[in-house]
Amino acid sequence: MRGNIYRYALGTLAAAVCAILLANASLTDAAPAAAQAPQEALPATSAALYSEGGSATCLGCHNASPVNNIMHTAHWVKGDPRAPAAQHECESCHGPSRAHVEGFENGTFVEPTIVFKGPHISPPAVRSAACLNCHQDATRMNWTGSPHQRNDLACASCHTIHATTDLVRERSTQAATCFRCHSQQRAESFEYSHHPIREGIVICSDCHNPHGSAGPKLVKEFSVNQTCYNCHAEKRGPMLWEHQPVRDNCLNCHTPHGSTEARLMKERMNFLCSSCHSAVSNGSGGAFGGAHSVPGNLATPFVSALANQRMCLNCHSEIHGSNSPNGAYFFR
Amino acid sequence: MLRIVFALALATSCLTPVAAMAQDTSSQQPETTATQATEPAAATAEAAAPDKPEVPTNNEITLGTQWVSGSNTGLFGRYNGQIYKGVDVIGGFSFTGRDPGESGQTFYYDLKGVDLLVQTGRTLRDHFSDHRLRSDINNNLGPESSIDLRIGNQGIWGLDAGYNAITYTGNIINSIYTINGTTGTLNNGLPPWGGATNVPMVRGAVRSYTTATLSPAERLFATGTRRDIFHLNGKYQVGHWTIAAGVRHEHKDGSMEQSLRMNYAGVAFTMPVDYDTDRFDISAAYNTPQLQAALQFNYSRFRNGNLAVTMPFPVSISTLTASSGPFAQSALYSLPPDNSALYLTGMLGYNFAPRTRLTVNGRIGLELQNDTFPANSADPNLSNTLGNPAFHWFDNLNSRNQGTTANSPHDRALIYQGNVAIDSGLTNDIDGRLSYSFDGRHVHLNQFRVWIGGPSPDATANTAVFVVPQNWFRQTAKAELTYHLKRSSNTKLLVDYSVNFTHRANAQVRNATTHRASAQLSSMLGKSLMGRLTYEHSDRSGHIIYGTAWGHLEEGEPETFGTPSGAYYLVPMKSDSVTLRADLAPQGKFSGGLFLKYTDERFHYSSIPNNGVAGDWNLVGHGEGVKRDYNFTVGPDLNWRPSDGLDFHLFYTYERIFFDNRGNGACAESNTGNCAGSAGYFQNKYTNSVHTAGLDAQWQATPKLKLSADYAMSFGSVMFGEFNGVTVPVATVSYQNVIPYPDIKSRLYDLSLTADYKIARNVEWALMYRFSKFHNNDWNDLAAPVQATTDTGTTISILTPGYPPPRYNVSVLGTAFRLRF
Repeated sequence: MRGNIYRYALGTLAAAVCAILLANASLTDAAPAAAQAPQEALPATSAALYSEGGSATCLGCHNASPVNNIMHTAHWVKGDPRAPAAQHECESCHGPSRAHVEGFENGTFVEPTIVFKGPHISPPAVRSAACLNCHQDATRMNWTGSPHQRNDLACASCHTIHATTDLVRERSTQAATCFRCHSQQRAESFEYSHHPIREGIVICSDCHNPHGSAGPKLVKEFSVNQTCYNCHAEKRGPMLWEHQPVRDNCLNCHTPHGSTEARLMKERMNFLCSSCHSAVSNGSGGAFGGAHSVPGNLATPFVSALANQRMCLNCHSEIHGSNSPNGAYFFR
Repeated sequence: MLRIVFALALATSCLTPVAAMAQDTSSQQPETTATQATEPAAATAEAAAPDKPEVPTNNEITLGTQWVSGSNTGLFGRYNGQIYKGVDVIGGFSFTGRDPGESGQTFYYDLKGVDLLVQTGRTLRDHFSDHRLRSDINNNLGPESSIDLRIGNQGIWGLDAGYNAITYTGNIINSIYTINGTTGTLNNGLPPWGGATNVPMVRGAVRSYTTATLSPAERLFATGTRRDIFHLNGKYQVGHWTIAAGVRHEHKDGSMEQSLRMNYAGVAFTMPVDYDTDRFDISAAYNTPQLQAALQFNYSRFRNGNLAVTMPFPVSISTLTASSGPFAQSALYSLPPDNSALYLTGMLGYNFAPRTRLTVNGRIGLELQNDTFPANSADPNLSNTLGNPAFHWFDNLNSRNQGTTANSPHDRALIYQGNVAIDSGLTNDIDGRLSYSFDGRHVHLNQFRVWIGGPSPDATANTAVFVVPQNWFRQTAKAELTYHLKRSSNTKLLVDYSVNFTHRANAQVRNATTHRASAQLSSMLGKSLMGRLTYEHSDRSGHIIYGTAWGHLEEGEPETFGTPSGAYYLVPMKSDSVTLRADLAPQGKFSGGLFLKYTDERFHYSSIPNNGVAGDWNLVGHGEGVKRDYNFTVGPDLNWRPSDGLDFHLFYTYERIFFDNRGNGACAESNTGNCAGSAGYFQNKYTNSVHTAGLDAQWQATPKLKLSADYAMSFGSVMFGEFNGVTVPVATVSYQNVIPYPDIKSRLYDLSLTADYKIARNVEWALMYRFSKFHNNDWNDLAAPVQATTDTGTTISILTPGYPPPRYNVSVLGTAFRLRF
């Protein structure tokens, strides 16, 4: 029965894919398919639509910082045939803009073809397409359909192109760019136990690929655990005795951006353990003695190791797995 | 720690390093402190700052000094190794160059050094060790430094080589108490095992260890680790191809807080860390506007310089006879084993048409571990079983006897993962996406069994425990539709539905199905305000097997009895989530945003079967675990520019986390009277509330003088609600008349003030002051390493690391010069 469901699901998926391909075959643009998000196409291009003087025309008006900062960056290396400066210069990204130039001559205002800011800003997909035309490589292959793309972010939402230093690409300033939207993660980075994100030691792109990824939550690898193992390889195992929630997902116990609990735990450790181990018979059930089990608090008739310091990990310290023959209960 | 700030750091990056000066951020004109989740179609985005001529320099050197004072500076500096009071020298540099853009040449170079700190006489102290485990960390130079070189010919080849260090001084604080000395023995010459001798088996001069007799043996040891990381990457481009390769080596050294179960409920010690992690990557990528493809191979290897740690028992023996023993006088604590991983990854992206794209990702890999087992080692005990040095009750059951032994696991995990997605514009106003993904893990290893608890390696009063591999196969199919309701206002509705099938071997829930659906409505609300509302619901189902996962691997079935509790991440669950986001694009001098998210998860546990079989439970009620949890976050983020050169940024976030854990005792939840015998049902409610707020201001007071202020605070409060279902007139055991734990409060205050003055065209001077205070009253952290079983008793319960609640109060004053040339 289960096998039938799988086959049915896969068959339905395959049929839907074929339907989509057939439907769009009739809509195929005769122009070469550019590497852009499928929702929007780059504007039509022909030599007649570009300004005659190229960047010299643009710089006639736009020759001050920050615009001309781009001339000190990789985008303005004419020796690299892929660089915008070696193609249509400013109009490589801003689109053919002869009408914009002629508009001024005629006393009318016409925006450039692709506008990156202002009241006539172009749709996010159009602005991103200008960048993806060159930059859709292995790192950015999964941009289409990614959470940032679905939420109408464009490349220029985070990147500053007309600058010698792009703040989001610098370790010391990247987090601040991300925190503009991810306020929950910013707040968690202030909590006592945290990855040193604000300190610039571990930054967002050390774990995430904001351009899209094959894994969940934009993690760089195919799974959360594989991403964590990049720095915490001692947890990778496989171990002789494995703790199932550890192998399943590090986020079953940890919250990686910050926590008021030690060791990035989601919850106080003894309660977190009783999320799964909740019966008296295995020792982790119960209220762990409550306030009377805390040394020095109230009259403490029943000191409980389960409420003190490392709590359950006072004994079960090999909690990520053990390679000892006597490690079945993670004591060794 | 101090990092002198020169750069126009964005708000709340309160630890921007001195070497941020080396980054030419002063010429940045970001749009910047405005919150921008999207650029609304009709919004006005104002330039962030007036035009300034850029300094035509490529090179910078920064040199400064800082003075750290206050209490518990070690805790304050735990992430960067700057844990000592006093004066340090810190610097950085940046040398950047490239051929002029108009020249037709493409050479570039970029050499940066960041946080080049010099301390003197500071070393992470050595820890408990024997001749094999001794480790001295020299943290004098650059505990948080990095040096990076990038060179190449743009569009042809490039090299990136670098070094960086990451230091972390302790899990919670930088030192712990332990009775284990530096030479593999107990401190103060304390004899292990209370002085009893093993051979011949006679009672020696036994010392009765009590809180009074053991406490003097506790010593304070500093813990901490340092990572030294080297990397070298290269790429070569020819036509549409890019070939890239890279190597990375990391050495991590030091010690960490750890504890070991002996006859006491935990004995703290410093665990040695001597890790080496190497990684090798190579890839080939083909890129055109229409087709992108990449093939990557990754190899990662982890090596631990130590297999195990020998720990003598600090146990006293009150009775001994001539026939007692033999006993093990020490335990062997295993350390993370060596392992390696190989992955082959393929990626493909293809644009069939301007609005149709196919994306495929796939990975297959092996995760391997075949390290030698540490010798079997149990707890000391008067029984001549678990403490028996000749304990051989760990067997390799490999029934086909494939030449394997009981010395290593021969553990191989096959990993296979992939996803395929197709995105398409179905009509002018409707976009669609279909995707399918899978994730599988299958483990091969020797079949091992260990007998626990009895006097002999058989079923005589003994429990057999089997090694259980963690295998799974997950599949997810998802469909999404986006309907552009009104393009002029960017109004659109996005709906999606997915179904996930997960199959696990040796798990409480063998097969789980999760249905998930979400809807998102977004639109411009007026000219400048963008709003987005999202609702998501998911429903997970599956049958819970209340049993241990141990069973005969060859038989493939778990035992039928075990613990009546459910693993929350497997059991049936319903979840709802609502997210609201509103962003006001720069409107004149003001911009801002509001974020709200609420996620609620409810878990369901089926009844426990009582099969009437000997050894099965005989409990009334349901197996339990976490019943419900929720997370609520809300807060605004505002930017205000009253005039050119003056910027303010203000944010506030409130986060509330709640867990409701239920458990099964001898009495059912419905029981309202006293319970005879053992504990009743229990309930633990955990509520964690955190308020975080920050304000930063930047003011270009004069063309030469820039002032910055940054203030952040974080207030946390953890509240507990516990009940054990048992109330009696006078409590005689811990589960009766339970009073909840005391609340825990934490406070963080952090203030930074910076003055940046341009002395000359190419010379800047900065003065910086920082005050940071953290206070926490966590009762769990008690500055008493030897804890008794009762409040005023002398019988030892546990030997803890013995550190108090984390608190610090630190001031840092620093100054630096930056030279550009």
